[in-house]
Amino acid sequence: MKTIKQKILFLCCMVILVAGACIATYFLMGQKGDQPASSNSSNGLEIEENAQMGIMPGIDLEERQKQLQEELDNSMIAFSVNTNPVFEDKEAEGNLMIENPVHNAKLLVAEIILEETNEIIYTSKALLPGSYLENVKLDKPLEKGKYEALVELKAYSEETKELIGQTAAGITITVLN
Amino acid sequence: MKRRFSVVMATALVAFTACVGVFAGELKTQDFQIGSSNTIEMVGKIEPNILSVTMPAYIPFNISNSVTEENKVISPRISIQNNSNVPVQISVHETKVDLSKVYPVQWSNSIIVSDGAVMVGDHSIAIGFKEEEEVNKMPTSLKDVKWLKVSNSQAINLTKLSGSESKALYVVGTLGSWVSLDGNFSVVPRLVVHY
Repeated sequence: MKTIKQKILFLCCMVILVAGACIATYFLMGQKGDQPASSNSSNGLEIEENAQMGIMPGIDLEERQKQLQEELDNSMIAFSVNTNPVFEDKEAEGNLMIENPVHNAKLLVAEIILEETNEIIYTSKALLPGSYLENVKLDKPLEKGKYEALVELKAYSEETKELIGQTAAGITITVLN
Repeated sequence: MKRRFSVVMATALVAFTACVGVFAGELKTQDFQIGSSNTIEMVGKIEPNILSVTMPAYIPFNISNSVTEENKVISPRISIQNNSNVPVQISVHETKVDLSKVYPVQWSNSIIVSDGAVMVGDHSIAIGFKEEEEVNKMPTSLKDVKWLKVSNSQAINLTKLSGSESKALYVVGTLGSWVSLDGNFSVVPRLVVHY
């Protein structure tokens, strides 16, 4: 009697074990089917780890041009400057009249460079958007005469204070005495 | 009462007359005899020539042999606005180039035109500016390009703008067949605006 009970119990255990093994195999196979081919896949196809997701730069010309246009538009600066500043003498202030309009949203630093020698004779501090500098005194005074020069305007980001770029205007400086 | 009123009235009259006299004294009037001559001072003030423009401070661009046109540059539209009433000229006074990260690429100062096509050396690169011919369209050809030259003291005139006029330029260029760029290089032209 006891032997029959033991046999039935043994059979039940076997059935449960086999069923468990079947279910485990089903789920394991299913999970493998969902995965992409990996470095351990059976056909040896490997995924490149150095590849970057997205569209490669330079492939879509229109898209690339749009990105470049955005960068350029962010660097646009408006400015005004007197092309004929006059200094009474070498110690006096002259009417350079540089304006950084409010819509620029950038800081501007002005440098005056003599065209003949490439010497920087004046450097301003940063001009806030919506401000102007009417009269300046040269850092390196000039003798009486007329001088061809460039006002180089360097644009800096208001937030990061990083240099965005520069542009220049030609001026003629007159020192009267 | 009447006496007081008279005194007040008399004082007011004197004050009024004095005021008129003072202000009348500031007016410089002169009588001229008919047929006579005299001098009049004319005071003039020279107004400064204010130049006012809107232009880019930074010009990004890409260049690649994979661009199928003669112009191998992908350039943004470089808009320049003259906010002054007088004409202005835009020129390049100096160009600085850094090709150290794309060695052995060289800058091409001399451009050879053969059968209407622009030629550069196999390892060379040439960049310039061209005025917009069709609105919002990058140039495809390299005809009428103002080429940028390194170590060139002469100014290169790019364009002229009348009072309140706006114009657009594009960066254009080409590169040799052996140039395989894999890095950044910089071209920094000093754009100058002047009367």
